[in-house]
Amino acid sequence: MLSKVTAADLVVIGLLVALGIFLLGSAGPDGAGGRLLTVKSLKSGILIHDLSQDAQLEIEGALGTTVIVVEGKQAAFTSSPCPHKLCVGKGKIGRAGEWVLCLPNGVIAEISGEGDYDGITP
Amino acid sequence: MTASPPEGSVTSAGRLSRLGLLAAAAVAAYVFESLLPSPVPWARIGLSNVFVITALFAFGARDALLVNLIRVIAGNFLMGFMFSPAFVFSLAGSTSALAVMALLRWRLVPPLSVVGVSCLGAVTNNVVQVIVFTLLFSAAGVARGLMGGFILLGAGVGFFTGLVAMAILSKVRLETARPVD
Repeated sequence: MLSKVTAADLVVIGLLVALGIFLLGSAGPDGAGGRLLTVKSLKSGILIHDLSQDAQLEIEGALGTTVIVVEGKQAAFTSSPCPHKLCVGKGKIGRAGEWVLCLPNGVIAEISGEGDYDGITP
Repeated sequence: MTASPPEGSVTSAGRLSRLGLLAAAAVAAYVFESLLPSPVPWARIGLSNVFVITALFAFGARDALLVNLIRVIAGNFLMGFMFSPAFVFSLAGSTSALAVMALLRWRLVPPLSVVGVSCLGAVTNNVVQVIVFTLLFSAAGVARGLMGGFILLGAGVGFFTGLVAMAILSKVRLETARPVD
């Protein structure tokens, strides 16, 4: 008891390490801290959405309705009344600091939260 | 007219001096460690816990509690952390850790050794500190992110301090003072 590490000790240490690694994994970059999708529309104001909740957001803009689909912790503009559809072409965003802007319709969406690298690296 | 104090009471001079020695060593280790540079300011090895664990195994839970209280109070006074959040964290963490370690020593020490008890104690200390953090700052999201890392850190640190305590307990004849409780 006072001079040797026992098998039970090793089992306990193993369990603790496993628990620690499990919790680290489950609270990783996409974990509870979570990212928020902030959508600002010049016409209808600001909407903040939890990126981990799948949803279809319909945002009223200057020209009409922009549809933003949130799925699998990523967001994308799927339809927009603007002439060139650059925002739809931008595709999915999911990392902190990424954004999509639709200038004609006056809608900007950006991801905030704990970043993968920093606020600058895309 | 028997003047000799009862065996194992606080007035037993041998035990008192050994307790004083352990408490002084714990305070010295606590202050020394607070002065060490660390990559993260609140992550420490817990060197002073070696002496709390030694007291627990050599003298029992009551004496370990004394060593721990002296360490936390004197250590925080010396470092100027008294009544700051750091003091609250260390008091809450170390007292719960000691409670867990005393229970383990009482019930589970034949299968476990000092090292296993020390690991579980260190993890308890860290988990309780994260809980206290959540209560003080109501930041559950941050706390959840910290928990895994703190459990890993506790396991590693507890293993190390457990080995050191084990070496002290096997090399130094503290047990001659008094057997377990």
